[in-house]
Amino acid sequence: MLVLNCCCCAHGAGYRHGNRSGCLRGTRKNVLEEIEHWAKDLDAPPIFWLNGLAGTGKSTIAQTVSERMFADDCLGASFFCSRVFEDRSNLHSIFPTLAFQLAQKYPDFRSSLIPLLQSDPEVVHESLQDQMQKFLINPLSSANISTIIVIDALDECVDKDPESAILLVLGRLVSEVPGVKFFVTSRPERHIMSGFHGTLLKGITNTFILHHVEPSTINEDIHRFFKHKLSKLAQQHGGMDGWPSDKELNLLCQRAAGLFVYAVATVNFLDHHLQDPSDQLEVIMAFPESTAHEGDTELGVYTSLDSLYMSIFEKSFHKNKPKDDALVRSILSAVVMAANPLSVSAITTLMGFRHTQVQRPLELLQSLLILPEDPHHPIQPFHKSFPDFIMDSTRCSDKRFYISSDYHSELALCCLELMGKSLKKNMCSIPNYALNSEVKDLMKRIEDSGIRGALEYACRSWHKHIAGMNHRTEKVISALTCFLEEKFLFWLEVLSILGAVGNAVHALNVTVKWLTEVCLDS
Amino acid sequence: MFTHRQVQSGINISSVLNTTTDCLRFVTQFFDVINQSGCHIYHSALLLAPQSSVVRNLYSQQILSPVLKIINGIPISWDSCTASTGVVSYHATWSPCGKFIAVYCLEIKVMDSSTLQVLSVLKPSTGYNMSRKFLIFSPDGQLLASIYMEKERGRLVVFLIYVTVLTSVPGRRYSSHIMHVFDIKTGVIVTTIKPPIFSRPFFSGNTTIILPGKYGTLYTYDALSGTCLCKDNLGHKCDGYLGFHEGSLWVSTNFRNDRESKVNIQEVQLTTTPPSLIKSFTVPSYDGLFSFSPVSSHASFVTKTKITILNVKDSRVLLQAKAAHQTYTLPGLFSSNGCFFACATKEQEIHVWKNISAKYEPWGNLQSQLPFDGFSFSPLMSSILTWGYDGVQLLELSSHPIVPSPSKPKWYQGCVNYLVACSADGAYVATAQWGKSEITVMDTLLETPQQSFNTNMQILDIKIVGNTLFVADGHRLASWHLETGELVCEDETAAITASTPHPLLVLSNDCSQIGFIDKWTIYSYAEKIVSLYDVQAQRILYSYMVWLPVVGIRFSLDGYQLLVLNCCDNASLDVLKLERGDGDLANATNMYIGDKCHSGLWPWVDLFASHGWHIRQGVHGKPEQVVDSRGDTCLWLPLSWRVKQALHIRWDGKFLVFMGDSQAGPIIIEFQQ
Repeated sequence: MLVLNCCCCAHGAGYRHGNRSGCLRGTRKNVLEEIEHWAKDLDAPPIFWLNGLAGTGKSTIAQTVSERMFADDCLGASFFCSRVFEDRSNLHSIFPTLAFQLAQKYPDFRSSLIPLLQSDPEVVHESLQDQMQKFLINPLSSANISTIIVIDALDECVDKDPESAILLVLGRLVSEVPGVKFFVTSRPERHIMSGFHGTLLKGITNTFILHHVEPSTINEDIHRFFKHKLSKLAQQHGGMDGWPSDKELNLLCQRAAGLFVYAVATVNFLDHHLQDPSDQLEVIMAFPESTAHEGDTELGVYTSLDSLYMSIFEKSFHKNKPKDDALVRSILSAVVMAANPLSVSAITTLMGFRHTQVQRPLELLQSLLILPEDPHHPIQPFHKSFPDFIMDSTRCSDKRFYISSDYHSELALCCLELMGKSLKKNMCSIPNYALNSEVKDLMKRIEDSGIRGALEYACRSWHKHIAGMNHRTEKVISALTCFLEEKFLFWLEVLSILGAVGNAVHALNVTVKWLTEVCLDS
Repeated sequence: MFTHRQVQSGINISSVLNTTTDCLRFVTQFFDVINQSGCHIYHSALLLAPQSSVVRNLYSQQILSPVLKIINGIPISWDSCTASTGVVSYHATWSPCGKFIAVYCLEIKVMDSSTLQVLSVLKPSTGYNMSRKFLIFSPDGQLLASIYMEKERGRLVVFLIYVTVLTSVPGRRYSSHIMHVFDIKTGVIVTTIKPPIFSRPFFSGNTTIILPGKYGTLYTYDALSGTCLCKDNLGHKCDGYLGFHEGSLWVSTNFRNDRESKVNIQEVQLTTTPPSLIKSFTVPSYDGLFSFSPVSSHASFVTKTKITILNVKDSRVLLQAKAAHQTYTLPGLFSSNGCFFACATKEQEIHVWKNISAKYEPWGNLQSQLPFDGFSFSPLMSSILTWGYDGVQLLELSSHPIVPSPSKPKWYQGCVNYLVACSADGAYVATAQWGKSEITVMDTLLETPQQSFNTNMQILDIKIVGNTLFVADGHRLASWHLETGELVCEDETAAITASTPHPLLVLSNDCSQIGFIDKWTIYSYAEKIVSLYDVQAQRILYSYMVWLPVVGIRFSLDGYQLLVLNCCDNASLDVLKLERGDGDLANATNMYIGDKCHSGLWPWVDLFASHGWHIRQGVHGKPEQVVDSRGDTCLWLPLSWRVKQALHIRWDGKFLVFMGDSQAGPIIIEFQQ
């Protein structure tokens, strides 16, 4: 099990990780009831697909469903996909992670799975079909387990095929485990739609389309959410009787336009321990709704959200000097452009700022971020609509906060310089001639060596920022030259002990391509 | 921060690019070593990197080899092989995007085309068999079709090492042919088809597969349902299917008119039922195997010694090339964009021509590291993939004409049977072929040209003691002075020849004794007698009978033991203790050595006697790691070394000598004790 846990499971993919809150009691009644009914109905189809546009609250519902099912002892495993984490956006991590959780919960499952892993350790490399068969179907059917498995945000996995690969496999094999049900949420993306509408899944899937729910029902839920959260805020601050007024509440609901993400972001913003919520609300109300997408129906839906984000920025940084704006942009670029989420301490080390320089602007934006108290835990955007906004010049109308792709060169430079400063020969004190697999306390040695955090990120991901650069930068080329001439072997050594030598080949291929196509041509 | 270089202006991009490319070569060449051990970057990869490698020269201070030193033979420069892996492969193919390759071994492995790391494994439902197989991707890369022919019953099937898998041989009837169509992303077998014929399939669309049969029959299948959509007949027997492109199939038929042989090449439209002839061309017949350009009407004919490319539309000859010293083995192959044409030789080279304005100009010869059975161009024309029993490899197809490589050194020829001797300081290396009379001596320190001379003996073993070269055959022991080349002395060894004309014979390190095996036949269970002959006393001191197949005998380094290597299912070693002075031998003790020195290593491995060093085998029993007496892996050989440089390996004293085709000469590694 240890092997499975270390090698191929996505860490933090279960519903209990990630600071997600469930639905407010009394909201989302219809959809939750329908899901509950499906879960309890023995004759119901084995798959439930919760289909909804971005910001409609799918993940919150998935979280609530997981919590309730766990309380009822019928949740087997859950996988919350996330594009910000490499392992949680990898289709091949899903089945091993689910198997690991199932093995923790069901001893019979565990006793079927362990012999398989011992006899066939290469199973993690097998195709999705074989993975599902061996990790889930065989142990589940031999242990005769009835359970429910939750997969949230399937659209966040990297899958460019015209038909979702995981759904294809699910459709083929789900009938082999009649006691097992799958609850899946996703945006209505084309490859997922065609998966659910294909012949394999069409007849065995219950579909609930979240964005087709009556607007009045959603508005009611959003209204209830605002009322509950803001009353609570008023209580905490005291002396705020009658706040917010019905007019303000209605206006907020109107601006939310059916998007729960708007409601959550607004409450996060208002709930600032140093600021008066009513002043904060005035900031939002005073900020005009963006008209950037007038006439653009597809993007028009997000205009109120963009306007909210803009007002939060305006409020947080209105006293900033231009050089402070540059600092904010640099820090935010590390939050939204990192190949894997970075912690405050990693950003501090990577970019060479002081801790307070990083911490302060992030605290000001904490309504838009999941900012853990522990500075070594990774920071994530509170919702994926935030990086989409800040990296899109047509949506982020204030150029002081727009993060252009040019920031890749700054991040690439930071990575190369950090490696130049920190990499040394044999950082983990590996004995002469030892194979990595022979070093029993390798993990501990890695932890003790200081590789984890910013340096690991730099080693694994510098090339991803090179790949994002579409122009020649002398500073980066110079740092790259120094890195190759002085630290290349030490970098390889670190990748070897991290089990990521494949990264080295991709990194060097990307660099050759960038030097040839961008630098030589210019 | 970096220690001695600060930001500069005007950096030479070509120089950075050159360094990056060299770094990439370093990683791909030693990928499996680096992947498994971080510290072997300094122990093995850096130590074995070529002399001209940028990485080697930048980091030479970091080489960490406390127990061994390479005295000679480090390759001069990178070869054309950028990556290799030792999986047995019967066929391999590129995905249309060029990012993946699919390799048919016992199962189908989908690999990253940069690192050759296995990304996923697809398992045909019927499992293991060893017959001919083909793999082909659909044009959109979503499906992978595999077809295999089960072995014929009642026949001994051996490994088909030189199967001409590229030949589009028209189908034959066998008892069972099975075609699977896989969804490449999920590994799901979308459909399984049992076609009545076996031949190389073509995808005529993303979901349509065509199997051409020998008698002009074409079977068209729907790849998703497995349904046979139609069975068409071209209306005549055809000899070869040359290629498929743009909805048309090009077929050829040999015929003979009154005066000469001709080839009829037809372009057949497949979208009509039955298929209809678009055009027919008659061209002069050339001997050899056909191939056809996927984008033009250029066809090639390859014989063992000659290549002809012509335009079938007007019979214009575009290339006529004769092999200088090599023999062409496989049919030629055009790249998918028609820009390159390549042909493989028996000497494991790939000769490449480039199509420049409908003329084929020589582009260069790629030296293969592994023997191969077939090859194909990458979709981006940046490399060539080869496959075969020894594994798959990627050869770099340079964007510039390839600089001709020097011809193979003399010691390469037939070196499987080579005998090697090394002087105590590693300065002199003598080589000879077992049973032949010529001997070659080279001075590795002065890099003087090698000297060859004829001994007029049937050489069975050689040794160097000081600056004297000893040569033994079944009749006598002769010695030459290495510097002057003069014959020093000759001793008759009549006692040896009395029983066997060509015994398996070894000289002790000081050449005072000869160990030999009588009635020697390898892998035979017949009784054998191991004897020890004293040169000075001119008599046999001791004889010892063994009943197991013997694969080798060696004196220990200190000369106090005679080691007899048996091989059964697991190897064992008889150690005969030699008590010097009185000439008697103590009783033999038998030592099981199991996987440390498996019999499969023969003839790759000799024992580094009495110091506990041994070579651990890798794929196909080829040497992979040099292991010291504590079990530490001191040197890890990359795959290309294991196969190409290690054609013959021999411990000699404290030296390990690799006889390969390295331009830098034999590789001599000195071990410190």
